[in-house]
Amino acid sequence: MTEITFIIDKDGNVSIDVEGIQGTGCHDVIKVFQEALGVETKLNEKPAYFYELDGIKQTVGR
Amino acid sequence: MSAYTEVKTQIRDISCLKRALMSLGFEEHMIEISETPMELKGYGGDIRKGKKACVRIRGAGWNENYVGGASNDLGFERMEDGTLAFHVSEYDARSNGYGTSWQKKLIQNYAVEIIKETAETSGYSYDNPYVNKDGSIVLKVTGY
Repeated sequence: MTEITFIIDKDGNVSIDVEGIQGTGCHDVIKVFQEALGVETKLNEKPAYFYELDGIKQTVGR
Repeated sequence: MSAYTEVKTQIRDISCLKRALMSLGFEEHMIEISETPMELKGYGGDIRKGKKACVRIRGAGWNENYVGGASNDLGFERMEDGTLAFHVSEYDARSNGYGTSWQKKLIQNYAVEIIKETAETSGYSYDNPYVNKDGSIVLKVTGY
């Protein structure tokens, strides 16, 4: 299951934390919300980003 | 865990802006929307030159006044980059409560509406948002 946590600070800046998606799929999820909201200011991949879906470890560039 | 990003909210969507304005106390009939830019009036009924808006809330220059005492119209104008710029007089920002604090609350509530709408159209579900002690709003979206 995918879980996305949005924290909207008092200045309207939104942090988006995606969990439950391995590989590059998280980028697609983030992109949908980011384009609707505004301008992306920072992107960090977390450990699961670097695993391909078939379990082969591989570093994936942005 | 997958990814984390930060986004600066920009007001672009009129329907979500309308819902955000309603969340701050305006009733639906108070919020005028027009594809053709509307003129904005001052508190004396004078037309404010150079100020037009596709979203307008009438002030004291009209028979109906939804903004406050001796108020000018509030308006949102579509800019070339697609964002909506907020027109508010210095008087209304200072004396009728539409200053920085209110504007920040509007942007916050607008972001909530955008997230909800995007979640729905993407097939996700979401919990009711809640407010942290520091004033930030948390909204959790889930899906498969």
